[in-house]
Amino acid sequence: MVNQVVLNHETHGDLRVATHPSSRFGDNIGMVGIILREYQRLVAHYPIFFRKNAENGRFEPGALLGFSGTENLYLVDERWDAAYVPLHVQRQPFLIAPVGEGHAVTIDIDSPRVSKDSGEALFAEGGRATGYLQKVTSALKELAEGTGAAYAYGAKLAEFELIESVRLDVQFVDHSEVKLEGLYTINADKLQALPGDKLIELRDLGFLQLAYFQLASLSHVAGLVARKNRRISGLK
Amino acid sequence: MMEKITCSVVVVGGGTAGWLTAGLIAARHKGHVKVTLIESPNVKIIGVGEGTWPTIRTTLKRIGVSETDFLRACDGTFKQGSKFIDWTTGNDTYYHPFMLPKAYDAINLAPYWQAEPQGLSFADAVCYQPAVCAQNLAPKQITTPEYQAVTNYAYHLDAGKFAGFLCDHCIEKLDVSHILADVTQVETDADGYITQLQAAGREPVPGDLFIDCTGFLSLLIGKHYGVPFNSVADRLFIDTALAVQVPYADENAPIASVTKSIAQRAGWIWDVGLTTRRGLGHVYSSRFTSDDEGLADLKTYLGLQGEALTRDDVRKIPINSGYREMTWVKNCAAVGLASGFVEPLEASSIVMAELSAQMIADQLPVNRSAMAVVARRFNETIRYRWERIVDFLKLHYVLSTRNEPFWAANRDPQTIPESLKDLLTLWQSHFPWHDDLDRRDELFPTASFQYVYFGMDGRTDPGPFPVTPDWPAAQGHFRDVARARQAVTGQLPDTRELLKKISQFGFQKV
Repeated sequence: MVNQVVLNHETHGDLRVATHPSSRFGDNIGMVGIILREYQRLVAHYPIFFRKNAENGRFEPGALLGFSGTENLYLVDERWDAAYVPLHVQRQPFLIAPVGEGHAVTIDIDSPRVSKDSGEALFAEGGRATGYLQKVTSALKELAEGTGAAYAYGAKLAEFELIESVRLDVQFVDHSEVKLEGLYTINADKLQALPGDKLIELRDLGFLQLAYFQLASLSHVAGLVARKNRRISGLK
Repeated sequence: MMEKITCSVVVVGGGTAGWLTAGLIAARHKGHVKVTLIESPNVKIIGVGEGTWPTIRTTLKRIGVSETDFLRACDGTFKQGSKFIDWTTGNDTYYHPFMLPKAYDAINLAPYWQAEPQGLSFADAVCYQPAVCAQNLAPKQITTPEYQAVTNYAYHLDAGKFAGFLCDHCIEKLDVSHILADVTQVETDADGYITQLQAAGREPVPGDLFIDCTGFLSLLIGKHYGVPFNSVADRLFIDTALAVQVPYADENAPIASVTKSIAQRAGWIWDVGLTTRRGLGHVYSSRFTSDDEGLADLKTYLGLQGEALTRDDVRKIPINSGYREMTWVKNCAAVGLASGFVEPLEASSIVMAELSAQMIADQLPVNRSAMAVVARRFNETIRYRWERIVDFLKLHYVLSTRNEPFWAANRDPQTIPESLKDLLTLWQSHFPWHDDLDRRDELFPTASFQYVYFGMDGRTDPGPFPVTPDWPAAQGHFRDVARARQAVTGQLPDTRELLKKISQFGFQKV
């Protein structure tokens, strides 16, 4: 169970956090939420889709990592096999949570990443945040600031009726099949045919370029299938 | 001589039926048929109808409104069927869900259920929807796209707000012209076709086809053309409604996703939950009870919430069950209450208006030759539908074993239509099935008859005839229903919770 508590150097001064990815740490996830500022880096490695938030039904962008909810094909022997790791993976096991009037960094104190003997230290002498904790904190801030924009992007594309649902129908080398539902993409033809005023609105919001990035990223579905086939064939 | 082409439709009356009709025709024929709706600024719409059928989802989609906008504007909630309380013995409950029995196109599960009910009601054995209703669960999730369903559903809605919502949409999006004026005179040509309507203080309104949506007034079909009204009061005895709106006991009180119908000594009470309030009404036969008793029974049902209720809080509405013998004469068709009305059991009013309007929109006659044919078919179909509705409603009364005078009188063979008697005779030895009704597009399919018949303890004795040839298949279906019941009830949200999310976030279109 997740047990997020507010981080402070008095209580948590001697804690260390394992920073490498591992299925033991819950990194075996099939999709990870992303923010718009990551698009430029993500587009080189991951297929980007929308999914619906289960709580509110809103479209949120995410990078597809595998063909089931618990399959992460970028996770190879406790190593992340891509040059860029999404912020939502980097931030583990920390969160930003509203506390009183403001916000505070919290840590999942029960996470298997957290221990007293191995991994990165959080605080240096005198309670100063280490370089690692500073990096995590800035990632958390970026995520907190970027979440609203990611929703706004999905909402605007939905308003212009550019989002369509897709089903990934894939067959692997061993003839096993998967039909992946609940994913949404941008309809390229509709985007192309969008009236000028709406195109300009998308451009001015900074969404037009992102939409094309997202369309281009779909070529990585083939890469994902190749990763899966390598895994099936025992090639990693 | 070239025949005149239909290019202008005039709808008279601006209630639910009027705007649905204007919307369906305008959406289907946008750009080449001009639709005008004229309504009196002085007539209040009846607007009691709060229950719909799943067809409404297709209708609203066709008209082009967003489900989220509709639900928010009309205080809409979900309806997954009806729950009948105390109808059979005076102490009983059964469901008539919107979903068909499992594998209804392939196998009649009724004989298998009757042979081995396994402690389940018929509806529970063949359908998981009653369990969804019993837990006040919604028919879909917030991630389900607009108009799509996990379990089949319709809506409960505020009929007054619904007419206003459709009006705005029709004017803004479908180019329907809206005229607020009283119709003072109907002008016809030598053949009796309406040419134009004189409107108080306005230019006359000409048209090629006129739709009478003037409610009980029946201005064109009834008053102008003098089509007789065919009363069905000899079969359906309800003649009075006392309607009332009450708030929820508290803001987190559960919202039911069925229409509740609770049998009373001389009628029944409807109980419908909207987002902001409940709508209730006691409908009864004045031959068997008085208005004072009617109010007292309503207060009893409401319990604490009914204690302060007085005559001034309730709206008394006379119910004259029946329909016009013809609903399309010359170039004039009637839709809604102007066409007919039977007591509100099973909510046939809005669905009849939708189906009539859809038929007009689909078959909009291009000229008068075509119109004569369409009119003949329309009359046949609408009349057939009203008669089947009467049969189906009467079934609820005939199967009851309650013994108050109202209920006993309902079982008098003199008051039962021959067509229903035939079905009941047949079903004593033959399990209700597809072929028992005449039409492919029955308003109430045999599935509905099955739910009510077996729900009200109707039984079939096939004698030596074999009726259960494939037990393994039947058992497989019963297991599937049980499994689906677990899965679906575990997945669907509470109705009130989902409605809150709809008001905050809305559904996606895809």
